[in-house]
Amino acid sequence: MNSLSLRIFLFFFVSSLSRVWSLQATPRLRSIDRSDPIRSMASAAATTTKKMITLKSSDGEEFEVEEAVAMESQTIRHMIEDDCAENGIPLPNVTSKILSKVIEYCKKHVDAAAKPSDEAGAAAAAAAAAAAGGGGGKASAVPEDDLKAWDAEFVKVDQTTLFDLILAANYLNIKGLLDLTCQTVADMIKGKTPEEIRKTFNIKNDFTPEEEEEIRRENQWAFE
Amino acid sequence: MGQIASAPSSTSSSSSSSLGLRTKQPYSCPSGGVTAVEEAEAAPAMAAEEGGRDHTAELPDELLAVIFHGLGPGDRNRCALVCRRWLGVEGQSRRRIAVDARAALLEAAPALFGRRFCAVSRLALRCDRRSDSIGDAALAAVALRCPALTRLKLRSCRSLSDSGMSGLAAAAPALRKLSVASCSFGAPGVLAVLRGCPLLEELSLKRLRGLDSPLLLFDDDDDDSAGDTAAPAPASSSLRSICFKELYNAQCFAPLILGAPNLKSLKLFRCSGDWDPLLEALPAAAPALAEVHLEKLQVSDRGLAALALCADLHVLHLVKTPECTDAGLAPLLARCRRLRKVHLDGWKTNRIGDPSLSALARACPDLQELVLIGVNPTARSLEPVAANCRALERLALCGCDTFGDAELACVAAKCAALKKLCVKGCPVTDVGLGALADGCPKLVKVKIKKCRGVTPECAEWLRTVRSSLAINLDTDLSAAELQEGSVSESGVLEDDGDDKLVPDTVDRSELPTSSTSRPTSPWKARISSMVGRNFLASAIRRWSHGSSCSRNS
Repeated sequence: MNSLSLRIFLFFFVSSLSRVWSLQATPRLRSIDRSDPIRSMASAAATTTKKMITLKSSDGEEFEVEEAVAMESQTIRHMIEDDCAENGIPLPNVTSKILSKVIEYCKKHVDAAAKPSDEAGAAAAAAAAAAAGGGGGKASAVPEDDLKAWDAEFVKVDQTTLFDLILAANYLNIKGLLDLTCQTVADMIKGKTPEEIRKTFNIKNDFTPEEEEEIRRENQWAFE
Repeated sequence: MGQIASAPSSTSSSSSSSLGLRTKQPYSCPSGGVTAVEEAEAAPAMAAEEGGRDHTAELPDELLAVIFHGLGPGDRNRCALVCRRWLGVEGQSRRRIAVDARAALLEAAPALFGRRFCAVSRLALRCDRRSDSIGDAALAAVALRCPALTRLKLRSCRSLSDSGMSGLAAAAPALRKLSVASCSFGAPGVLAVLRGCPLLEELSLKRLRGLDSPLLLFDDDDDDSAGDTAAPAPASSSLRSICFKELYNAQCFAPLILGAPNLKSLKLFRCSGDWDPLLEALPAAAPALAEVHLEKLQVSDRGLAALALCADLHVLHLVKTPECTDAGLAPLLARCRRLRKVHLDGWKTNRIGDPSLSALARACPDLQELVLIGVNPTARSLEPVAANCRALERLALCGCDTFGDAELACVAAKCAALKKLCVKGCPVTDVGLGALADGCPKLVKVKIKKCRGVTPECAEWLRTVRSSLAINLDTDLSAAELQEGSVSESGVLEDDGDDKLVPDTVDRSELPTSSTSRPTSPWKARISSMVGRNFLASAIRRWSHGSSCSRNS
């Protein structure tokens, strides 16, 4: 190739590159809704910093969280989508203590989902490790087990906190947290006799002995 | 699972004064619960115990129900004894229940289903062999009190008659699934359900003793069935799945099968009669057919040729049908290109083998699961299967006399997507198992059972080399069981510990435990002699690991 055509090629190459760069810059400006100054500021910040949402607990404390973390709650997600989130989201049913736990849960799960879980890559790595004589085949399984272990630690709290978490997860509509906390309570019930269950949860027995007997008789009809 | 407004104070006060009967619940119980209400009015308010309060009282009923959902029936029964509120919430949120179908259920039904379990949608009524079962009146009483009933299982309810089944249809017209086993009614009862339940999607019948008399369906001379027998049963357009097991006179249901245009799944197990004519009429009658199980039936290549016209076939189980040969099966597999799961049990008659598998390899790229029992594939067909069926995730071989180390090595080398492998009663040895060390990168689970050539030491070594791989090894040296190779429907590839191919409980008592190394030493000598034949790197590795294993064991 002679030097002239080489220079022409380079010229077009560089100019096309700069066009690509400028194209990347403009969408940000084009998509701004000029009638909404807050949104334009938010979206101008979007590409450089993550959008933050402010959550206000019942006792007045404010928590700033990433939008992605807040959107783990379907309730909050709908509020954001309906443009009700401009000045922060008040959560009158959730105390700051519980809200910080909830945010901790959501953050952990958003981070875990964002990690590249490339099973094929991990398996190929495992196969390569095996061929090299090493024993490392656990790479792909570890993150899932890690998250489960973290969840198990997360719910090791006193009953008051646990039930408050259930109510908060329900109010905020966070399915994973609701399932986790409800299953934790279910696990506290498993294998216990009725009296043991009552002791665990401080429930008063309001049956007469005859009623109890009747229920036991009925229970015999239902297979375990 | 939306927001449920919960004001703690109002919930706890209302729960303490009323008992578990929440008549404002979505499923309001009919008037069966009078006696309990009268007794409970005197209950005192729920006093907070010293030092602890009842947090469950702060939860709305719907959340308490979610908690109960994570419990099994035994735990749920015990929850019902805790307090009145739990009794009510538990009973009303119980959707699925299995009940003892003794005759005395007739007296217990009003309280049991009318008051307590009033929202049941999936019900199983099981009677044991010694007791008298429920009769027609009891079945109707139960069905009337389960307004949400959609799925019903009847097991050994021998006292039910045909008119009882029409009573069921009248009481539960919204039924979607009916599964009957070891009952004594006959075809009129089945017809009555089909007529009375226009939404019926799944029908499963096993051992219906009343099917003795050869009753022709849709015959104008039939006196037993009321109504218009000439018109097809109204449920036939909703039927999606039919399963008949051990019915002596199942042929009388042929018009039913052929009268279901939306049929997707047909399973026939050990039913008498020649089924070729039905299969010949089937593709036209049921164009959406996707799943076919034929086991211990009189079916020949003629029927298979007809089945080849079901272009949408995804699942095919052909088990112990000795009149089916490669001549009929290979063309079927060649034409049904959407097959995803194929189970073939050749019953060691050697009439199904490489030609069928080669056809499968060529035509079915979507194949995910392949189970071969009592057939003899060689590398000639296994290699194309491994190479062309790129989606193959589950592979099982049982009693395949030609599946040895070379074939296993071929599978290991070529089945890139394989996740689960089960080999039972095949002549593989440690050498073949060793091939899994570098092959099948996505392999998650391996089961080796009744393969004499495989030693526990090799399995241990493989566990150290591939720690993410779950290896289940069961060495059994009794050869008698190698003859019997049958796969139950739950399959050989499930995660359960018990292998359902052969009852292992019988074998284990005769098994020498793996600690007695007498049978294994000849194989160890064989391993060391075989080592030279393998790839260099793996051979060296095996030497070092094998010798360390023998030192440690």
